[in-house]
Amino acid sequence: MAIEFKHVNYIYSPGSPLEKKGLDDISFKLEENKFITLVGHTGSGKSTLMQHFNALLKPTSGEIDIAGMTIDSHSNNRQLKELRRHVSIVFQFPESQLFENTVLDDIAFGPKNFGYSEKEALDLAEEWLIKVGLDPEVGKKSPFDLSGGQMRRVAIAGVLAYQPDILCLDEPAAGLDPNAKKQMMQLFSDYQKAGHTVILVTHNMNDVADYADDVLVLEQGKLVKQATPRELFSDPQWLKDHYLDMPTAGQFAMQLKNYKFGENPLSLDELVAGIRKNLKR
Amino acid sequence: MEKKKIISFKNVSLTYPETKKPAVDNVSFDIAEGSWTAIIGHNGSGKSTITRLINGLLVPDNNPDTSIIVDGITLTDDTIWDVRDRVGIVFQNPDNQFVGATVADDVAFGLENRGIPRSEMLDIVEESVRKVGMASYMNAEPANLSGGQKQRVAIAGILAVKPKIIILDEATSMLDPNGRDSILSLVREMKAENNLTVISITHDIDEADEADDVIVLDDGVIIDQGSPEKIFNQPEMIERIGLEEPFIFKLKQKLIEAGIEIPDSVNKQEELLEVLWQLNSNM
Repeated sequence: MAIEFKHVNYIYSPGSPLEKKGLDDISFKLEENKFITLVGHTGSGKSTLMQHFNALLKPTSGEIDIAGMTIDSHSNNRQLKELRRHVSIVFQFPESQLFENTVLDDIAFGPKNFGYSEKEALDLAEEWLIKVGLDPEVGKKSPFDLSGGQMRRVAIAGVLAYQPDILCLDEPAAGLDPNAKKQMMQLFSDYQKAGHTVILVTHNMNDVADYADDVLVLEQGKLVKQATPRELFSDPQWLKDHYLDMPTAGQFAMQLKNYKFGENPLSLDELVAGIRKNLKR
Repeated sequence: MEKKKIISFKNVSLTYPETKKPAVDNVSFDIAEGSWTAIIGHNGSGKSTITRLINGLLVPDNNPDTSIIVDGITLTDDTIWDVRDRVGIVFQNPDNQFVGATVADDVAFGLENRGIPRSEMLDIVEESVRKVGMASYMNAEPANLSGGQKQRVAIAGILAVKPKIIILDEATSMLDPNGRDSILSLVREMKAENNLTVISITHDIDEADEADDVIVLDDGVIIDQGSPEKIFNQPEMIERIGLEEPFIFKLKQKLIEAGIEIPDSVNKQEELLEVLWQLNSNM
């Protein structure tokens, strides 16, 4: 079952003086169980698009096929709870949404909300507490006694615990230190490989190169490209025209003017291999 | 001549209530006026605690040897407002620092607090908002802006009151690469114009690599301070404390491991490019 957007338009405050086009005739198809990245500049429509994945926003026109449902401007709010069990959005700074007395209760809230029994929900909470890399002891603490990085993990565990088929994340690693960030990206990558779709909004082209199967590029509410990272980063001029960066390794390779790289290296290892090849010629 | 110290910490500790271990443990350091200093360390290493000690948001543990001096003023209950006049902090999440109903109001807040006459205030607000590239959002509600735009407004609010020291507490971590570069170059420009001292608390190691001075924190203790070259030529230390080396240092390391000869003195991108260029033209 693929995710498909068909000519989706979204207009903010239609008919008012503040009317503004958020999404402009967006059509694309995504395969399920892939790692998708969504890139574009501030104000390009990434967040607006993301909120369509679980119908927090409904298209002004056009339709969306997702998780076996079809969403259009008339979609009934009553069907949406089922949709949201399958499609979850984690916004920036999800730790600001923690509220329970203990970490375990906070993680268990999601599963309970979607029909798991108290016991099942708490079991899932214990399981996911560990899977996101926290000590089981942390479970009894108040979420507000944790560090920012730990709170972030608790918030994400609360979403993963009811195992949505499609997980949408908006810059989930922002503000984390490099180690914590790497662990978190690995967690999402493992989640995807276990048979879920991950859609990640990011500005970090190294993450795009390292993790993505498929990339959507948005600009002023329009989809300007859908490609694999390899395809996207093979066209430096296109990237430049759209003010997007090359991954760091590729940027460096482009400055090595007397070297030849078959394909623009996307990672440090590819860059080192390419340099070795040139020197052994 | 040694540069004037604008911030001087001596034997500063801070223990949060209900914890036994200090978050910042007997820390001493100096920051030179007009310098760009990066404070690096993993989450929870005490970086933000130091920020909050500099402007008296937190009070250090009571100890006769402790002192915090900012621009020649010893921080006490009586001088706290003088110190805060000199220090502007841009926090990571701009939502936590908005007060105004519009962008212009928000930027004006600090000026109103300081009793700047209205006519003058309007000019300063306009100039600050223009400088951060938000001129067309003057009357927009901050809540309707994107994360990056909000951060620009927060920075405008700080620039408007012209502090001597500006602290970027992970302030660029929410911006896209272009936004980040434009904010950093804006801060650089402001720094040059006004002899600002910049302290950047960051995980962005490539940003730290451009600083004059780097302070490395680990579990509340300063484990090293020095130039980026000095700090980042210690890959084991950087890895041990949970950080990442700047790209150039990682590449240098990997090339050496691959048997390619890179002199130890190579610490900058241009130098590495030059060495690689020559290696390939000699063959």
